[in-house]
Amino acid sequence: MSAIVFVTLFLLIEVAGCVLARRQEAKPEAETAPPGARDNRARILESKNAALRKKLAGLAPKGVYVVIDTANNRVYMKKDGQTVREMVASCGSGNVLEDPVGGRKWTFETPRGEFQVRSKITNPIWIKPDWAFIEEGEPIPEKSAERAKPGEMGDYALGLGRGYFIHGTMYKRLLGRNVSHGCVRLGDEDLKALYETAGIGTRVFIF
Amino acid sequence: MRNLTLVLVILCSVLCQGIARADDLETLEATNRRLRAEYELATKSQLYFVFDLQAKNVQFKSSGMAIAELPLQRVSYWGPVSGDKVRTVAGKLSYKTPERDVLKIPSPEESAKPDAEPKAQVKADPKKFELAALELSDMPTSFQVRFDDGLLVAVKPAPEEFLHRIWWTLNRGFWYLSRPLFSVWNFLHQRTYSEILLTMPPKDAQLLYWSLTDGSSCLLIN
Repeated sequence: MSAIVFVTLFLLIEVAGCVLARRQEAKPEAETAPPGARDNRARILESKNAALRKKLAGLAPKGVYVVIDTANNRVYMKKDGQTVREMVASCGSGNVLEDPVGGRKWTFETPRGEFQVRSKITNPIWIKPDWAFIEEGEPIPEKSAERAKPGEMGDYALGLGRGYFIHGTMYKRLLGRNVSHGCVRLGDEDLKALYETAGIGTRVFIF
Repeated sequence: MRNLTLVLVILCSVLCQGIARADDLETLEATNRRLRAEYELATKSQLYFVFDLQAKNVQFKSSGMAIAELPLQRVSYWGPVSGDKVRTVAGKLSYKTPERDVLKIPSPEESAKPDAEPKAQVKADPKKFELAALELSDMPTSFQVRFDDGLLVAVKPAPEEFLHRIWWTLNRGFWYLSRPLFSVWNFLHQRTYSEILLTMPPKDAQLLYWSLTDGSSCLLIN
């Protein structure tokens, strides 16, 4: 008997749930205008939508741009929507570093969004930041000259702002893995090709 | 009799046209709202996501341009879902949330202490090289995305093997059977319950989990 009651109750709730799910969200003001006015409105909307689509298309980059896939560690050099070069990269590891003394915290993640090439440097010198010394268990030097590490970033670097760069690496066997501290590392040939193709202002899309 | 049939046919066609026009107008208005919302997002130079449930894909977009596209194998709805507003990701839920590795560096005092027991020297095996990193393969294939307006998007991996297919069918059956209970429960709490179930290839599901972060802006086309 109780089983029948339970099943009936369950079925009732199921039906009620289905009815509730079928209810539609309140739609914006119902159209009560006569057919002629509706046609007019439809024409206006069609032209407005076409204009909006055109405006949206106008925001897309023209010519060369760069797309970086941080999950698959790939950099795509594109021109007018077509991939002209696919490159294997190393993006941010996602690890967190905690400073045991100062309590500071860093997350080694490649930032996502839209960026631009802001600077182009040949033979860049890495100015080793605090986290790099902490990570290696070394004392943070007082003189800034002691932070300079030439040769670690490869032959070229393209600055994206906020301290992030696309640069070379000494750890080529790790290309294709998420090992960087947030920058995007590339192999020598790919870096050279990117450096030669991308100018200042080239748009870089990172996801 | 012939004339009467003709009149009826004309009347029907006029009536159908009227209904179609009303539908068209509604669609045009929804498209207009969606395009305006997208334009606003596109001008902010940020990454946003478009769940195009009609074309069955998820697009990663920036500046109005799709920079990546993930196909959806199946789309199921529960409850009312409007598709012409910007939604923000409020959270992600999965059975096993990938966690970041925290690199613990010993403080100078700790480093100065001599080890009570010297650690055994382990010879590193280059074949078993493991990275302390959060990578795509660490991401779940099955998860839920909660949006700011309460909408839930459940992502499930498409079945690849026979047993997985059976499990997936049972899972879908359970999904349909359990949703009414959620609708009633939410109704009792004066909320509307809406959920979308997306089935996609496992690797794409992982990429979607990777890319969708809290605060990401999303648009739905349905």
